[in-house]
Amino acid sequence: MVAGEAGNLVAQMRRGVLPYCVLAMLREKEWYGFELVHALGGIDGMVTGEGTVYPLLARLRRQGLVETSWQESATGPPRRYYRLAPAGREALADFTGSWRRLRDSVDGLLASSADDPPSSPGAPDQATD
Amino acid sequence: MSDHNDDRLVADYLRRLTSAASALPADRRAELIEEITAHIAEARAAQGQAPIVADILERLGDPAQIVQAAAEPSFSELGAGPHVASGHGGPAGHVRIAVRLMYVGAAASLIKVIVDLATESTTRSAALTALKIGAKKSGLRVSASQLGSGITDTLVLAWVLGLIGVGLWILVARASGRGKDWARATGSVLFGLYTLALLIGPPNMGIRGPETAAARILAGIIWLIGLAALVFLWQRDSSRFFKAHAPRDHGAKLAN
Repeated sequence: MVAGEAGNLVAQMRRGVLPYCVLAMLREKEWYGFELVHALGGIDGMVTGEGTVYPLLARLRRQGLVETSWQESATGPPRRYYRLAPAGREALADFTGSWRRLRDSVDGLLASSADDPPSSPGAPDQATD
Repeated sequence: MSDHNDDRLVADYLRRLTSAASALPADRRAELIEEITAHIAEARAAQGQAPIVADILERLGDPAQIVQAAAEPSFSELGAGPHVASGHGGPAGHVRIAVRLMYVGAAASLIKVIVDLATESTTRSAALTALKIGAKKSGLRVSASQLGSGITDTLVLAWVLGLIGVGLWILVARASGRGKDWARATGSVLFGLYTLALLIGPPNMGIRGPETAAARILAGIIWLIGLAALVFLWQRDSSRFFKAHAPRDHGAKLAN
């Protein structure tokens, strides 16, 4: 492990969790492509390029995790709307549990290491008066 | 910046995208270009009076990067699928078991054909005796050569059907492994036909003996293998696997 690697790791993690974030957005309502991509693009650190979300949406559709339908638009050409498929809901529920466990564990470890004095890892707790 | 310049920027961007996407399969390339074109149009319309096209394109990102995202292996192929991660077996888990079972079914069917061939002379003489008794009881006058030729036809038919069966097992197994949904439907129909054939035939020509008992047990085992394979093929994660491999629907489905 080298300094600066964290950035790369975070980029990989973001790529890994992005599909679930999309599924989570679709949990409550249908979104059309531009609307969803634009909203994701507005969340800090979520996507590096809005254009990369479209291949992801296509993949989720091919995998049966989201369903799509075309709907007329009052302002232009028909829009492709995305909604969560039952398989997607199941996948999201699975992920949510796993993610919370991992997040809590990592948070716990990070918090406790931040509290520890850096020079004495694993040393017995200091006595307090 | 004038509309003309904006249009040129967009055209240039889409040209770079099209060029970068040349390695993608035609349907994915067309879909990607269509989506990005629609995105740009929506963004320009949404920005109202003063659309800043350069910003829109910058937010979209480098065309090469977008194409790279489209070319990446799918979510589940990476082993990052929800079911793999949670240890319940991947979307293809049950399909994989079903495919293996079908190969076992093919092997068992082949063994049955070999057993039938190996016990041919015993089957033939037993069948001849049984048919002679049957003919005598019903008062029919049939020569031994007529009976013999009838038995040969039946046996050859059974072997040919057996070999076709082996081929069908392999065909359905391979197609299922590749996510072809028709394989699942075909397998189900074939299983139904096999079940029917077991119930109403094939004619055993009135033979009773250890050879036919062995053949019947083997036929029962093959039936059970087929049943198990079908159960795995129709699991929910299997359906997801087949759906994921289904060809893309090109039609614009307009839902009102």
